[in-house]
Amino acid sequence: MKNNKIFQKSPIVLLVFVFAIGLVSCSSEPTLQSYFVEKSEDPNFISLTLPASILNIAVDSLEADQKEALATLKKLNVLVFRNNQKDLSVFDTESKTVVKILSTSSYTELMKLKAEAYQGSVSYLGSEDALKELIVYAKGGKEGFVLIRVMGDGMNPKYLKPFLEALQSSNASIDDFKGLLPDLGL
Amino acid sequence: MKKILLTAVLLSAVSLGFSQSVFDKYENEKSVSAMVINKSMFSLLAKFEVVADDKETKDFIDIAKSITSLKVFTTTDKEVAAAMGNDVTNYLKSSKLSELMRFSDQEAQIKFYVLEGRDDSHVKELLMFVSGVSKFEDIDINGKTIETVLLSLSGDIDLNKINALITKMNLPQELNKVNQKQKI
Repeated sequence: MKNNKIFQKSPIVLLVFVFAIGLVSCSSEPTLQSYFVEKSEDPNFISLTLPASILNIAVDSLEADQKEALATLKKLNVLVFRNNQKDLSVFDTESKTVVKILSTSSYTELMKLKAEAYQGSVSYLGSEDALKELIVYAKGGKEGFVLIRVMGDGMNPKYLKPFLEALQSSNASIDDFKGLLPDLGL
Repeated sequence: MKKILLTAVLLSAVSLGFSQSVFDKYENEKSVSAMVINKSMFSLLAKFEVVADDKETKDFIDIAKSITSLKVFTTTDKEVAAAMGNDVTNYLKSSKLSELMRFSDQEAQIKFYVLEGRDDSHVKELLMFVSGVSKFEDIDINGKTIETVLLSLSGDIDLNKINALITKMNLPQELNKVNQKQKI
C-alpha cells in the first residue's frame, strides 16, 4: 500500500525534477552564441558568417607552420547593430546586454579602448595557448555597434606571424567580398 | 567562525577592489580617452614574438610577462583634468607610492611616482602624471590638444626595459624620462 502511494506520486516527483533541471539550464549564463542566434532573426541586426575558405589561400604552397596556423581558423561571425531611430532605448539595451555577456567569467578581457564617443574591447574564450574565439566589440556613439567573433580551434598566439604570412598568399579578390556588402548595408 | 572568516575575506576583496579602481571611473568619463590593457593581453603579446634575436624584442617579452595592468587616460577637459589631479593627490596619500622624480618642461609638468619593488631597478607600480601638455608641444588627437595624461603601470617592472615597451606599444614618449635619473 505504502509502495503504491510512492509510485503514484513519482510522476509528479519526476515532473518537478525535470522542471528544476529546466530552470537551472535556463538560468545559466547567456553566451554570445545564443545572442548571435537570437539576433540573426532581429530586423535591427545584420548578421554574417564568413568561412575561413573565403580567404582563398592555396594551402599546398604554404610552409608547414603557415598551414598549421591557417587550420586553426574556422570562421568569422559578424553581428552589426545599426541604430536608425532617434530613440536610443533599444540601442542602449542591446549594447548593455553584449557588455554584460562579455563580462561573464567565461570570457577573458584583453583590453579596452575608448576615444571620444567610440569605445571597444577585445576578449577571448578558451585558454591562452588555444583560443576558441577572439571577440572584438566596437561601439560608435549613437550609430550602432559591431561584434566580431573570430572562431577557431586551438588558435595560438605563436601562429599570428605565420598566419599573417599566409594571408599574403591569399587569392581572394575584392569581388569576393563585394557580394557581401549589400548584406551589411554599406 | 567560518562566517567571520568569510566576511573578512569578502571585505578584504572589496577593499582590494577599491584600491585598484581609484582611476577606473575615468573609463566611462565622456571627455576622457582611455586605454586599459590587462595581464592576459601582455602574456599574449609576449607570445606573438616567436623569434627574439634582438635586444628590444627580448626586453619587450620580459617586460610584457611581468606587467599585470596598464592604464592610460588622457583628457582635454580642464575640469576632468583637475579632478584627475585631485585623485592622484589623494591616491598618493592613501598608497605607499613615493615620488621618483618630477620635472617641468616649459609649461608642462611631468611627475613619476613608484612603489618600490624587489631591487633598485624594479618597481611594483609606476604612475606618471603629465599636466599641461598642450602648452609645450603640439600633440593633438582629432584637432584637440591633449591636456593631461595619467598612466598607471603595475606588475614587477624592470625600469631598464621600459623603452622596449614604449617603442613596441606606442606609449607616450615622456615615459622614457623615467630612466634619466638613473643615467645621470
